[in-house]
Amino acid sequence: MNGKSQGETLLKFAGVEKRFGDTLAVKHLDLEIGRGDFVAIMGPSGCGKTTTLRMLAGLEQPTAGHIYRDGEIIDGVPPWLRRMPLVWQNYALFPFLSVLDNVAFGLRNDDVGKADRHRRSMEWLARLGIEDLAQRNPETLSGGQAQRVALARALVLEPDVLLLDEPLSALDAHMVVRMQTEIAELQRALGITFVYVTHNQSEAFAMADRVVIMNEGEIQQVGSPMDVYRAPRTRFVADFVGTNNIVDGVVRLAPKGKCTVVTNLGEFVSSNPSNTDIAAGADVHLVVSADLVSVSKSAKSGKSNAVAARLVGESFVGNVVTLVFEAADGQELKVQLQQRALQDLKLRTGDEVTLTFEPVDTLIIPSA
Amino acid sequence: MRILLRAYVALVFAFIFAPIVVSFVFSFSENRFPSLPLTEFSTIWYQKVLDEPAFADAFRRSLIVAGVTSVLSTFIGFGAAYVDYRYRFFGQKFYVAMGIVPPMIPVLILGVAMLMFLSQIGLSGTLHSVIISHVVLCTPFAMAICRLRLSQMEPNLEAAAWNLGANQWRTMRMVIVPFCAPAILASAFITAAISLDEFAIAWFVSGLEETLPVRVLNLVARQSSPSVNAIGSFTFTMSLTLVVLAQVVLIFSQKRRAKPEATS
Repeated sequence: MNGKSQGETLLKFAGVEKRFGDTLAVKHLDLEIGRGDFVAIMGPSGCGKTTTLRMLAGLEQPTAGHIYRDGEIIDGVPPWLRRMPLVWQNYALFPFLSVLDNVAFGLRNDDVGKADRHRRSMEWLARLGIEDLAQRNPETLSGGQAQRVALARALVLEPDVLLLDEPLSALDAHMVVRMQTEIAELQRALGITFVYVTHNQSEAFAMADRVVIMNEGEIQQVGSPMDVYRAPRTRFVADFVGTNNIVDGVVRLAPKGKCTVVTNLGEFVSSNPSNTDIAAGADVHLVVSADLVSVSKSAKSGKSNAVAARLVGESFVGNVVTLVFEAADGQELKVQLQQRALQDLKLRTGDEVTLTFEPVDTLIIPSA
Repeated sequence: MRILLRAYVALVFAFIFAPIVVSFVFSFSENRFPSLPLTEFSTIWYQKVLDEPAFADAFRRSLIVAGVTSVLSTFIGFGAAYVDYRYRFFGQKFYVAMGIVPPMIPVLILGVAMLMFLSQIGLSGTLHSVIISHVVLCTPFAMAICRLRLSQMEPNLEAAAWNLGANQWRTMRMVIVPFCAPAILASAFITAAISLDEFAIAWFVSGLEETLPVRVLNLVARQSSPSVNAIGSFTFTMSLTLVVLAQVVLIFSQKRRAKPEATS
């Protein structure tokens, strides 16, 4: 997997493994994170992403392998000497300290004088637009306010690396979008490395330069959000990221750049530039993103990559509608359309349609 | 049905508190014998107690024992609770169970056992022996109160402090102890109240260093004096104050936690 970073490497996992009793939370992790990167580690719960973050912070010790920072092993370094502040999912603010003293906590541990640490803390509170809250008790804050305090408390230490553990998961939907923008802008302005753990792909894709997809303790894919979205490398990623149609098949012909795949739904041609070289006879998954499928009510025989299907349901979020179709053998196929386009089609549940997709939009990934 | 229930509750409270109230009232009555109608209001019996050096000494000893016991058992109880909170180890359930056991042993048996043990190591019949025995009796209460408070702590709070550069000792000083402050204060009050009242164990181990409850019993065993009412009322008020203080501290800290969320 592409675990290399483009710039200068700041953090490196080399063969890191973490075992809790009989369960292997993280299996042989190799990953490099560059200075100034915004890396999002994403996966379903229990995939090992939080364990990975806790190992960086020194709250867990790898059972095998090493973690490097600037080329030096940091395995034995206790958490209080790592200088990688963490923004916690539930904020973990100190309830018996004012907002100002919460932010100044880390500076106090650095023996910064009182006047100086208050000045620097106030600067950060002002930068995040919450200087009015300085004397408040953290338990009286709203989620968005508490999140800003948690950010200020970490950033006042001027770290090279900021760790974020699902920081937006406890916020209301409208706050999430606002904080996403703020966090992304903050990272670009400061130029420090952000390691951001989330199970939410829209958060990861909106902010990160590089996305690491994990499942069952293993890295599935590393790449830019667009790469991962348009060219998933494994079936898991294709399923987890975006809204993809996945059809299993066998490669019949594989001349350079153009594959013919036989499936239960017929023959399909794939000429996606991200296809890996595959020999004839190999088992593959055919992946087509739901927003790249067209729907027509007339039967278009003769055209390649066409499937007859019946509309069975729809769900919509905002102006994007996801239509669910059922093909001949019960295979489910999804199509994403703009609300407007759907109205023009005048579809009703049970209608028979033809779904088509371009060979260039049809990706094949080898079946594991 | 509801009225019956209320009457029943009132009756139960009356049974519990009537003797205390009676003792309270007669402690201010001039009559030597507790009888109705009440004679003139007087503080003569309080004065009498103050004038008797045996009582003053016993009271002083009780205060010392209660003070030292309160500090020691709160310290040990907090430490024991923290160990249980922080670490996972073999035999942890047994460890907690052993910590809770002493108050469940009948005080008479605890008293005899303490006497035998302390005389073995040459410590019986001193104020130290009362303090040691009371620490054994009171520590479980302190541990229970502190465990409850620790269980309310956000699980990541300690790790958050480490993550911001505070080592373990500093985290203890700057995060754990401040967070547990209400519980620590409450256990100090409660353990002091328990120690002040405790009679049975002290009777076995105190020897000539009588504490106030022991002195009172020795007095009552020989004669009946209204001074006993005065002492009883006084110690009852003191214990009640300590227990109420502990409750106030705990309730206040709960209230602060439960403050409603402000909107942004």
